[in-house]
Amino acid sequence: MTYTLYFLRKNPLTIVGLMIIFIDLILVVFGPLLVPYDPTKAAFGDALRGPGIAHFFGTDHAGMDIFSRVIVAARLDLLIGVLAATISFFVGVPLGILAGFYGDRRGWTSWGSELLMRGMDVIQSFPVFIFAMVLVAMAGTSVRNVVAAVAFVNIPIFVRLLRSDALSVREQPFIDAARCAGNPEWRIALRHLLPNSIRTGLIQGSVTIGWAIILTAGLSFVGAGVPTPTPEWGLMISDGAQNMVTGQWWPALFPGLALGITVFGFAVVADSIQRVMDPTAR
Amino acid sequence: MGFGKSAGVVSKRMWVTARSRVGVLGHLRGSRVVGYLRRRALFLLPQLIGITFVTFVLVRLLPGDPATRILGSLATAEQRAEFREKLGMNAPVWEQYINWMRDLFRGDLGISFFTSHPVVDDIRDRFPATLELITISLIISLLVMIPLGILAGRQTGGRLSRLADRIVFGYGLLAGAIPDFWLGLILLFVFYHQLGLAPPPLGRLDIGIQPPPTITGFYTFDSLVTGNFQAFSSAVRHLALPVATLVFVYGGPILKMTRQVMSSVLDAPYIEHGRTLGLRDRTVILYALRNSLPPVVTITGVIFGYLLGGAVLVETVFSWGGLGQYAVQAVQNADFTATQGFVLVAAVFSILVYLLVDIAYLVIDPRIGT
Repeated sequence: MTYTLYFLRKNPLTIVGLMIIFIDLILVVFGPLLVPYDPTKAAFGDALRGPGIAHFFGTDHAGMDIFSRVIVAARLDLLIGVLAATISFFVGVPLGILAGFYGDRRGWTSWGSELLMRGMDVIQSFPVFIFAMVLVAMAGTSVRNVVAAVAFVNIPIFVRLLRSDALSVREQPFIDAARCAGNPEWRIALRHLLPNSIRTGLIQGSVTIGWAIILTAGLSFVGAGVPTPTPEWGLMISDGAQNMVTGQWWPALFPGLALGITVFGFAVVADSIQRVMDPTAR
Repeated sequence: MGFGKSAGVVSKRMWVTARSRVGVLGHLRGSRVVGYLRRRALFLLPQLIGITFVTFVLVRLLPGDPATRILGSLATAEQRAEFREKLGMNAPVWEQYINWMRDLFRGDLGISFFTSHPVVDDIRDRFPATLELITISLIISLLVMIPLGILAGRQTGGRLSRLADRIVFGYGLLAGAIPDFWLGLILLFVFYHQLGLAPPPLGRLDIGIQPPPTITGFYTFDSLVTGNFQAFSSAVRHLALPVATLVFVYGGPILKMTRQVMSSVLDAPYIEHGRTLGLRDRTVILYALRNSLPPVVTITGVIFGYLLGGAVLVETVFSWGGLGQYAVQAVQNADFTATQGFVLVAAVFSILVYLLVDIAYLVIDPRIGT
């Protein structure tokens, strides 16, 4: 704890990252209460107004207030990011632990582990974005399918990381000691291996949140994400794309900034967690 | 990998000649590469079959009826049934898979509903555009980021080196946080709309300029070889913004990795030993670089594989007309033969890239694979 405080004082960037996440959380909880306009109400008479007093961030081609949309979108984007990362964490971590614990041994469990890893190879040979895009396009565009697709393509990363971690931890003397003490194998995996490998999973989890938000935005950008006119950062950038070439920069700039700042915040915090939790780096 | 192939079969004497001919790579035992490839092929085949299977399942078995999607919801039940019959979709699933695989072996990926051309032809026509974009982006990333990474990784302890280190760290986080398609749009606004320096985002050449005759399909290369400088400069101008976008976003991980590996390698005892022997700084850095390469090669390979799909967004922004844009159209139009074809090609391409990465490992590090 003292070290964490010391670390924060030495790394002001971490505080910036934490503040970004904190502001995002406020937007997630109170977002719709804070906005001056209905984020999905079109007013064609007010289309493409530049940023000003009436509309802080201007209006888009349908006259919707961009400021309101950027604020309200935080809820959906963070929900998708956090949910997808959580799902990949809870599926990937146990699979990775099991694969590492039972891999390269005798018997059918080893075969199962090998089969799982080869399956992960196959999934990972598909370029991530393509895979997610086709998944959503084929299953239908909805928030649920976007979460499922983004979670699915991230699972192999967790499995791989946790497996290699578990492979080295299981060779440690305390695992043998636990075995000598008469613990059944499942208990060794659960009570002794898991707590020692979970750190890797947590760090990857916080990285995945930011990455999932970018992926979601990309999916919306090509029309394989949430349906219009849902306030979502990627979709807003997509809507503003044509205006960019004709000189109206605001419909695409602001949602991209919001997205970039959010992902930056998660990346900074993930990096800090990694350094705080690594005793050798002190 | 010519030297590797020849060395495995020819006599030792010839190998010695070949060995002196390959110079720097002379220490490489060609048989290692061949042996490795042979072992690797054992895993590759099941993996390829797995890929065809997943591709098939992905497109055919997910919820959503292609007949409804393509014919629209107004089509009658008979029309839909007829359509399904025509596509052979009434057969049992395993039979459809076998049929699809049989066509695949003949090099037939079906006809695209949207362009009404064979999917194979569509992909062949568009592949060079994407490959040119991502290859040039990666080459420039490497040329820029590796020297920067060395600079930041040296950590001489001075004020300047600490500053460089901070900048690299911040840039790494920033590059990972910015969506590439958004950056492309911003660059477009600044360089096309405001400054008028860049051409409009409408493909690979200015309107009215004939593409050079196809040799490689890379417009820059083809136009240069045929001496068509007008097409060359047009192609370079059109490449500038999308390449800048990709270099900024995907150069980040390369820079971060180079810096990290360089700084840990430079801490190694043998580097200190080299220094005490009085080796020049440049020589020491070159030794360290050689030993830092494997992780850098890995990350480059991963990015290359990712970019084939990842460039989809940047291609869309710049109407690049490459494979990525084709895939987006296919997905948007529920053109499932084209989608299937693209997914398959993309997966096979990334497997080949990973294979090349592994071979590069063997070349760089003589300790691997023996």
